[in-house]
Amino acid sequence: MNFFWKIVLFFVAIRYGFFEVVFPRVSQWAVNSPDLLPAPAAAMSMYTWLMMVAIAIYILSSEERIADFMTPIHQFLKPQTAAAKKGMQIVVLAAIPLFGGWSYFDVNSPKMVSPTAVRIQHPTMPGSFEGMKNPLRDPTEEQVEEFIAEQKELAEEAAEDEEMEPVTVPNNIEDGRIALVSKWTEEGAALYAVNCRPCHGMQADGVGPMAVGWRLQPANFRDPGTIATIVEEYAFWRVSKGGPGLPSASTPWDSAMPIWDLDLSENERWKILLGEYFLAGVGPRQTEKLE
Amino acid sequence: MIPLHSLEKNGLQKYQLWLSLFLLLLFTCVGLLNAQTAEKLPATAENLVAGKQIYRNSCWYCHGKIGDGNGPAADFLDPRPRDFTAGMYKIRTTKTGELPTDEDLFRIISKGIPGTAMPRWELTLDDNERWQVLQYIKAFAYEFSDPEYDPYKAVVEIPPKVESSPESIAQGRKIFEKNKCFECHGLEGKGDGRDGLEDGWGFPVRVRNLTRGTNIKGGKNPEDIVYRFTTGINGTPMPSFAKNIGGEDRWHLANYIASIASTEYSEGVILKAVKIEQTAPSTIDAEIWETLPALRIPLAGQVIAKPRWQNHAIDLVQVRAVFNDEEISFLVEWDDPFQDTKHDAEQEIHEYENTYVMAVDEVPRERNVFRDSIAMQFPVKLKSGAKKPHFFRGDTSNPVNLWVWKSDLEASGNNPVEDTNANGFNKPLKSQPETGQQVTGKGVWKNGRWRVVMKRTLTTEDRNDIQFEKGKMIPMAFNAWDGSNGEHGLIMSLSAWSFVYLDVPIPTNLYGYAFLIMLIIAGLLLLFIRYSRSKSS
Ligand code: HEC
Ligand code: HEC
Ligand code: HEC
Repeated sequence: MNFFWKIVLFFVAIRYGFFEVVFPRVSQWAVNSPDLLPAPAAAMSMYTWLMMVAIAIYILSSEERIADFMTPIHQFLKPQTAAAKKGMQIVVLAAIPLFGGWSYFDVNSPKMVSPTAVRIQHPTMPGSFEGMKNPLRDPTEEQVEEFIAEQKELAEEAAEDEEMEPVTVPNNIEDGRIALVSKWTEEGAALYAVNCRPCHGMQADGVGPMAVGWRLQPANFRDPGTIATIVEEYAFWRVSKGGPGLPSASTPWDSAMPIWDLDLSENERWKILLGEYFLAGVGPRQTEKLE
Repeated sequence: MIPLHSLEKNGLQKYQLWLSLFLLLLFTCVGLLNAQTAEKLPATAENLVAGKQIYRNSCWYCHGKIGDGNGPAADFLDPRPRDFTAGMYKIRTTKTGELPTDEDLFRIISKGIPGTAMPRWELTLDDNERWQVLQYIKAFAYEFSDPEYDPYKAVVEIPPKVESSPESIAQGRKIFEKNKCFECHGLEGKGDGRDGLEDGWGFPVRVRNLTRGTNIKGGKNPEDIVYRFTTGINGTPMPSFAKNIGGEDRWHLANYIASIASTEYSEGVILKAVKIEQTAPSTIDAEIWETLPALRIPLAGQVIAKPRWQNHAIDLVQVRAVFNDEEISFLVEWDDPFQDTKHDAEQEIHEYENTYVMAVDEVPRERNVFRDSIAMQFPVKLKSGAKKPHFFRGDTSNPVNLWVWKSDLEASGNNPVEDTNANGFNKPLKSQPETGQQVTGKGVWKNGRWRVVMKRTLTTEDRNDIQFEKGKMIPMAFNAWDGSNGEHGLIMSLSAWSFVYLDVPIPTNLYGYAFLIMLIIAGLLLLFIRYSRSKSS
């Protein structure tokens, strides 16, 4: 391949291959957007010009390169006698002004495209939520003892009543703690089934029966890119303040996510998180400890 | 334009896509070597224990711990989750009143029931898990263990398939009429033939709208539909026609129904409003409508703020638009089996106990209580970039303009459209003063479908109105109410933002400029060729 074609190939690869094919896909993947994210038109034309200037400087900076670059062009433009070559020459030469006219037309004619925005799925959370802990993951000794006492009573009732399922009474505080957390998890999953399922789905996969109505789809909690990559207090913030709580870089106007602190108590919201993580089969990200 | 909702469906990310493609290839290879479907698992003690665990992780929230259909979510759902203790199942291949076969149950658990809360479990439970939980739910009803009720003895016989063709479909329509399906399903299949029906559990039930393929419970292919009217739907008024319709006629009818079950959402999110020279139409019967592009927009129940409502009736609105230099007209259409033109404000409900409204006994879901209504929503001001007011009634700093068409106003001969504003879902809609009421409208109901025209001047003097600019993406959303479904206030269905685009013609001078550019380039090129040739000679 001669120098001329190398330059052309380089230009095409960057301008079309990278900016039009690779870039939109990489940025879509990076911000986890439902749409391809094309580079903004203004930035694109700036890069194209810059690239052309850079190439020009590169070529013009050496007599040899100028000659290398120009020779094939002069070669091509030579008067031709063979019909096939002459035809080819005419086609290429006619195509250049046609392409120029068409591009101008294309750029300036009105178009029907919906405005797309880069959406940041996980913006910084407000400071007031930082460092919160889910109190239900680690019940106090008192709570556990109370729970064991309740279970004892239930077990006695169950012994009398055949309809009831047998009840196990935890032997010690440790077992009791585990049993209590799993009871809260089940209650949380039930709250989830009532409140969150219509959008996020019973399978926590983001396709509940109401999901078709929204353009911005409910988060799929089984996807490793959602609740599994955030700390639990972050999820607590999102559940409490919903779509309208997002900064504008996260397109709050498109989010159907409700503001749950209007309708669910703090305890219910933490409980729902236990259920939500359980149903999705993932855990929250642990806060990194600096030592 | 790619529909956003279809892409993110399962939250597929790029790398997952490649990974799945690779795995798919791998599995196809393995599958070819080892071609067999998952075995049905029997009701062994081991499978029942595993099934119970799955049931406790996935099903009890709706179907209840003891299988009675009274889980914590049940009160909010219509249809109500199935009571497994009664052994009454809807989607079967067996005769009316019989139990379903294991394969019937496996299919419904795998595919879910579209248009209801019943999820599609094949998305997260593997074949073995679905068989295990199936065996567990069968254990709730003693009938399954009684050989007298063996469903395999009651499977209906369906003759060999007749492929769909225009002749078969025409034949099917005749059978539809002859067997009086329209007495319940309506002349156009929109479910407007009968009201006030009850199901076998004592809950109100509506006749299915057969034109919405996505909401057909047992599947919308002729292979599925042919069973529905042959077996009937147990526990609902939908009877079995096994005795009345036989042989190939079954396939003609199934082909006909599959052919009308075709209304789907549009792929795109942009409605193109077309420019005309004559006056913008004010009625639904203007001929121009038929020629215009239509956008079919999905709506969901309003589950964003209290009172949340997930049993909405209107899940699709179709809209078209046309404009001239002064005015713009929209034609909005949606299915609603019953025309409700009365509104009793006294029966509106303002206090709700739960985060969601209950399916029965909380709001009156009957005729002649609340009106049918539709609202078109636009931002008051167009913002730059993607910025918009929140799609649910805007927000404090970004108000929206809603044009609310009301059937009761239409019936009383007044202007049926109220020009209103909102800035946030938590405040009631504010009607503009008399002088600000510039939107006119006309609505007509026929055969289970409302058609409403709304019309306004492109621009107004009013600061609280949307001003239609040509060549701009103008956000547009809908709120919809079906009165006989109990809908009023925020108990409604709504859409997210779509866009309406007032098409602008290509400016004529653009052709001229493009031509000029072409000439200049050609000239420069010629000069360059001259130079090149002189140099090389
Ligand atoms: C009306 C539909 C709707 C309901 C009901 C709903 N959500 Fe959401 N939710 C969404 C949408 C849409 C998103 C994605 C947009 C966003 O991040 O705001 C979302 C996002 C989230 C996120 C952020 C995930 C992430 O990684 O960014 C969490 C956490 C969440 N929802 C939890 C819940 C919980 C818990 C409930 C029930 C109490 C609930 N949602 C109910 C629609 C809903
Ligand atoms: C979110 C609520 C919900 C959950 C969770 C749920 N279902 Fe259902 N299910 C329903 C509803 C509602 C119906 C009734 C639909 C109808 O009548 O059209 C139903 C119906 C059924 C039917 C009856 C189908 C027929 O032909 O009559 C079966 C079987 C069933 N569900 C199995 C399951 C199994 C197994 C699970 C757990 C793996 C499950 N369901 C979880 C809501 C749910
Ligand atoms: C007595 C009233 C009545 C008559 C007559 C009737 N249907 Fe139905 N049909 C219903 C009801 C009610 C439903 C909804 C049942 C439910 O809620 O699951 C239904 C549902 C259906 C469905 C949807 C099945 C699915 O998978 O969702 C089909 C298809 C259907 N009917 C076809 C027919 C055909 C064909 C005829 C005439 C041969 C007919 N129906 C006659 C009342 C009727």
